[in-house]
Amino acid sequence: MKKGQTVLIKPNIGWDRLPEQAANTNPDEVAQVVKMCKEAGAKRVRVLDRTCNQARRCYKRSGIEAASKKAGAEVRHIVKSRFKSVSIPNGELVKSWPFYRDALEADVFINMPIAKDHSISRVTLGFKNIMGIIGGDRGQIHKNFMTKIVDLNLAIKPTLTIIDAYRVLLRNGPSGGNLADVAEKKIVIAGTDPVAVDSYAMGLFDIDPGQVEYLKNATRRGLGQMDLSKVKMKVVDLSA
Amino acid sequence: MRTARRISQIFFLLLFLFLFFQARYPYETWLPSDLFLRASPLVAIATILATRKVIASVLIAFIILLLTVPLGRFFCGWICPLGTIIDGSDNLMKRKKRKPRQRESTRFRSWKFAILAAVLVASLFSVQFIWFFDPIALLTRTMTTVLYPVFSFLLLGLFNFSFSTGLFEDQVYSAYDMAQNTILPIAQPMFFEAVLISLVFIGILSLGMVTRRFWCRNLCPLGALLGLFSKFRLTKRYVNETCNSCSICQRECKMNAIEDDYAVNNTVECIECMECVSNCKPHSVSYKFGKNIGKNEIDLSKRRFIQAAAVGLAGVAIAKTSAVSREETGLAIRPPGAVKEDDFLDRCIRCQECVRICATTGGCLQPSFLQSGWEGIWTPVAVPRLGYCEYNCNLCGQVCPTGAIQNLVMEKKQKLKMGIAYFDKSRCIPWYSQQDCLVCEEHCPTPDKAIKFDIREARTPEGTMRTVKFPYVDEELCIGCGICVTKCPVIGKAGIFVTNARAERIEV
Amino acid sequence: MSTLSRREFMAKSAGAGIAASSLMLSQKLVADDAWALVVVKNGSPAQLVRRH
Repeated sequence: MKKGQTVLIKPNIGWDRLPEQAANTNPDEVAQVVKMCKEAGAKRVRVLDRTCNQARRCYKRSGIEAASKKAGAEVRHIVKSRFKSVSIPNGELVKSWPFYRDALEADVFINMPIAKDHSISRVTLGFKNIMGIIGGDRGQIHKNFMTKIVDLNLAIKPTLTIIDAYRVLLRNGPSGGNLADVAEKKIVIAGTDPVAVDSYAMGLFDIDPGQVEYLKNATRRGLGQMDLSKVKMKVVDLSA
Repeated sequence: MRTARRISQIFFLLLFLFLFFQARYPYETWLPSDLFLRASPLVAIATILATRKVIASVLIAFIILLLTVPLGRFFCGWICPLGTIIDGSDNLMKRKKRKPRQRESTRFRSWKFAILAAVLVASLFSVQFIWFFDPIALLTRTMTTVLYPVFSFLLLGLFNFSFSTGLFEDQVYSAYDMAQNTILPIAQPMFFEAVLISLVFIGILSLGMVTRRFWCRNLCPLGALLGLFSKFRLTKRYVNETCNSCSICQRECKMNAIEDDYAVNNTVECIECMECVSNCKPHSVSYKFGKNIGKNEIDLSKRRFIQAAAVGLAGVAIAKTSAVSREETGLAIRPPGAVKEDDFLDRCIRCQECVRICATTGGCLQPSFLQSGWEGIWTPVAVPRLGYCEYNCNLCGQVCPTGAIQNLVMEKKQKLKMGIAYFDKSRCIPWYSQQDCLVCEEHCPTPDKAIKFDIREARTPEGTMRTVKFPYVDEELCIGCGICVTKCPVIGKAGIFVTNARAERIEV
Repeated sequence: MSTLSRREFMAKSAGAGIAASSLMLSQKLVADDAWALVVVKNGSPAQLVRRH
């Protein structure tokens, strides 16, 4: 990241849940990212998400609003008029869709999901997290989801994907609610290749990325590489 | 004194508006938003009569009633926000010019006592209609469903216009954010029954074209009730010898309470607005504590009373014999914490406070039409297609002034069934087209999701076999919050719906 | 809401440490394009601070 750039961080703030319930991104991680962007000289750091439950409840209970503001970010709510229609000529099923201007226009777009069990994508990770900056009737994306989610990711590529796996939701995702479904893994995965990042994270849930349709689709269409043996990867264990 | 009254009126109107704006998520307050509703003695008495229980939250009203005995109808003149609004709108209207010394007619004055009688008789027979006539409930209802949405519409329109011009973007964005946390709603509020409710309000204000304070003089049963209690008030109007019989006081009297003998006023009608004091040129008029020298007849003949009681009883009979309430459509989904239906219909004053506060969070509550019969008109029901009951919210119970919705602790509310969801298998995507959807399951808030899957092979319309996740509702876990219905992506009627089956109601 | 304060404290310190180290490394990778993927595990605050 260069000095004077604008940053948009898109954590998962979708649900009216506490951090311990692992439905939203860990607020301290979001705050750290904000802090480091500011230290690197960012002109402006904005944090937002298009929530599923009522926005103010989610922003508050997740702890992300307070933590981000404290670290110096602008925390904003979604304004309907700021969605811009983006055409996706290479889309197989989705040819155009509204995307949030702030994400399209930011110099640096950091996608920060939390890893959770999800019935339609198996695990919700970076690709699914993009649904938080799209407009329109998101329910329509769930039909033929595996193809459509790749179409959407063609329109915007994050500068960096950071997957929060400090706590993950193993069951009853993505909204959760039962602490027994939460597992503490204490892992963070970051990368510029969104497919590789998601593929690695699938492994945390004992899922072979080769079995996940959207990863296969994305690799075929050149969005990244899901075969981790072909990816330059570094694993750091801080406990060692 | 008139200035003091005006200041008091404006203060209480602003307080009313403040409490109204305050009734929104996150609702962290020290002054309850339903304060005015609880303070209306009419609501208190009618509700207690209908339910035959003493409801603690309305005891504030009895303080007002007790104070009326020595002080008269000060509530009408100094406090009532509807009175203040009527005063304001009356000033904007032209009325027929009167000949000098021609007093306005007192013909309709008995109607408010008749209405009071009718409504109280109906309450005795367990049908509560007071909500239609109570000025505070009426005003709150109109503000929630009509005035605030219009205000928001205009203000949001202004903001959207600013956004579209692209000028001063950052500042407008910040201002918009601030406004959304205070006076603006999160989303444009829209309610059913708004047109009917607005007609009532517009009707009342339009009566100002006939005389000033037409509602207060002739229709308001709260005014009638307070009038009854102020028969023997201690604050009296005195006219001394400097009076030159110019008749200006009679003309300026908002309640037409001054008799043709200008020294005599009707203590049952007088609201102590002090207009006569301020308008009297020789300063002959004053208000002091003293002996009773005014007229204090209650304008209600025995005949009128019997007529009114008959109307009240007829209303009861008609409401209770209409088949509309008998047809079990299951659409009367009550807010979580609602008391048993009979009790609910007696207690609910249709003030729409619950509707108002719900609209700032999940947004499922709407004024009903006939979903619960004629007796239930304008009571709150959940309309899941428009909004859902937020899992972590129990605000409706916190703002209900009469306890029609009990204030539940969060753990209890999260387990309480409002109803049950059912799949409409002719519309639900997996069921009719063998494709995966699962938006409902995704949003189901119960920690152990109430929507589960039956994963099996199915033949698609094209003839191939596919593994499909067929959703079904676990009735034991489902609490009927309706988020599945709200988020269902089927165009038009959803693939899932909620009825009030197995709804758990509170016994008090 | 603060019944989980002890857990929160542990989560805060550990989570912050992990995020810090991961981003430091990934910043490097955005600049150098040296790694496509970086995984950081099992952070504890003291070790991380010493490392930086």
